[in-house]
Amino acid sequence: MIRSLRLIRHSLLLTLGFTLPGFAKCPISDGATLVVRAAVGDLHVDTTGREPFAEVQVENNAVQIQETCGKGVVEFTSNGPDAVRGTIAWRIVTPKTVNLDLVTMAGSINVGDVDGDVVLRTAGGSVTAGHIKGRAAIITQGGLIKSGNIGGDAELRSQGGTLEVGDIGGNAEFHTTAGVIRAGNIAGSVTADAGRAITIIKAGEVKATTNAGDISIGDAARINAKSGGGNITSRRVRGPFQGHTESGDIRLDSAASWVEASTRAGNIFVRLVPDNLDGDLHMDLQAGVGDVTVYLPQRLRASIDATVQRPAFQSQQIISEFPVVPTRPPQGLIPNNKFYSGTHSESLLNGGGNKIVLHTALGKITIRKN
Amino acid sequence: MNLNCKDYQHQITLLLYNELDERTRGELEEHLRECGVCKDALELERTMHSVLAEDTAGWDVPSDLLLESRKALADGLDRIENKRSWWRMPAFSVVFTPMRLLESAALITMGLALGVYVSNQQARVGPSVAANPPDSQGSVIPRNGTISNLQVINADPVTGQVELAGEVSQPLRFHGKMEDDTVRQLLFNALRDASNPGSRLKAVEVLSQKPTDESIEEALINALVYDDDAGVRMRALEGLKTFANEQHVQAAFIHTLQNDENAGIRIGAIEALLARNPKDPDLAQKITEATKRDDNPYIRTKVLQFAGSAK
Repeated sequence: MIRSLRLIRHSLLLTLGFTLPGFAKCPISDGATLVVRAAVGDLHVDTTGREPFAEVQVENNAVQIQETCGKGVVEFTSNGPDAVRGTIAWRIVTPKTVNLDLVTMAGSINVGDVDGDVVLRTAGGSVTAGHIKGRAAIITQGGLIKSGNIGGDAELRSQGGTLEVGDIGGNAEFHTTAGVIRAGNIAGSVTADAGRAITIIKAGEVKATTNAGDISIGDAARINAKSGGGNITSRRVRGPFQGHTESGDIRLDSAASWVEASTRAGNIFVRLVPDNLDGDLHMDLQAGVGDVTVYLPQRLRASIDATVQRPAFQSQQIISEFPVVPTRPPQGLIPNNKFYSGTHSESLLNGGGNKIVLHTALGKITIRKN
Repeated sequence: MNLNCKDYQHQITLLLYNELDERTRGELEEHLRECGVCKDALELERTMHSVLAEDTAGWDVPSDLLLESRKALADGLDRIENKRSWWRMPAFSVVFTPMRLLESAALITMGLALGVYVSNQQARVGPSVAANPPDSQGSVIPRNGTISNLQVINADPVTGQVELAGEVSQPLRFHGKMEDDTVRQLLFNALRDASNPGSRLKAVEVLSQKPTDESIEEALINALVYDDDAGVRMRALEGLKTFANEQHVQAAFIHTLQNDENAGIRIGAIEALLARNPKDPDLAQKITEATKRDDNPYIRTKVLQFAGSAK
């Protein structure tokens, strides 16, 4: 009896859907893909639907919807004009156990939690999404992208807006030409390309590039970071680090492997805390205008070469807690005096080994024990 | 005060010893440009100085001659003061001003001439007499300052005098409020730093916090319209959004709509204009005109929606 009533209700709705210009509905099963192609309008997707149906309603008579109710793919397409006067909103209701492939040529997209994969694209407008268990590709030509956690791989692209995402279970790719990137814990590797600041709490390998702005990576297996102007900081890098900024500080509170860092104007601070003292632990730190400070383990085997190219007028240029090996001129040839202090020093730690080059054109160098 | 040529000629001696204050020196130099007689007097005095300077090489002047001369001068002045009769008291001295001027100038000239001779001789006597001890020079250069482009302009092996030129730079750390002119000026400078988009971005971020001031608004508009970096332009746009109902901000946003190659920034501009000016037929017309060649469907749609709602 109940089954018969449901059948009648669904039939009525389907009939209604075919007759109304702004309404369409198709049955949809778990794991199927819901495709929406909207010429214009904002897409609001409610994923709390309990019935195995996908339902679309558009509150504008200028837009007509065509549906294709396939078994694995359900598609709704608008045959309305490319652009119309007034606001157009698409209200879509579906169970969350589906994949989404949504495109609007002009409008924002708003999606709730989804268990499957999502592809969300718009030619302009913001995109917001809840937690996504599968993979996600979210692309807008301009506007904010904000998403909860993403279980699989993630690709987020915007020309102008900020990208903000929670944790990601797979690899991640972020691109925004004029915006900011903020991400949580990323299990896999990350490529982040931004116009402004990049902030990642934790990740595997990170390749981060920004035209202008800070790069802050809490914890990463490996970092390659480049900024056109801004600080580069990491609380912990478990593998190699390569970083360059045109202007700004570079600060690594805990580096476990080799470090190559350079800044044209700014300070460099590196605390080397390796898990394995036998690994490659070389360092090349180059500051244009700024101080270089390193903390090294006492048992590290290293050959330190420190140079200050243009020293300050009257202050000590190189401060080292490790004994300095006298280089030219031989000790005693030039007695200590208040006007001359060396601007180059070499030290051998535990007989020498990893090459540690510290250079600043204008600033001071400090070498301390961990 | 009106001075005659005689007064100016008294000052010439002091000028040559660099003993005139800035204002008097300026006045004298101006007079010398116009007065041939005084100019001749200056040349004559200069010639005499150079001749005397050349001849001093062979002189054996005792090193304490300057002190002795100054002491003698002071004693002489004391004697004059003691002999001064009642009619030469200050209240009446104005009557005798020319005489006193002459007297003083003669004494000063004598003292200074002797001083210069002696100091020149002392410098030649031995290396123990340093022209300036290093610490006194050091005090004008900060300890953490760095000297660049240092050049030796002049080095006299005889006197030990060295003239150096270069540039001193030192780290700057400045605290202040946004209302402080220096703070603003520094931020505007950072905004003009063509080589560093990072510092421009940071300056825009700070200026956007308090864009209520007209000069700050202008700086943000400048960044929005002219900055090469899309991130800086976008941040400037975000800072100006709340003022999108003001005419000059509207004009800047329309310029952005028409010219910015970044669709994201254009979208930001159209959204801000629509949000702050819901029904403005004139603006709708301007925006329609500015975006008629825009290839972004979102922008075209938004313009149509705006034009529709503005009618």
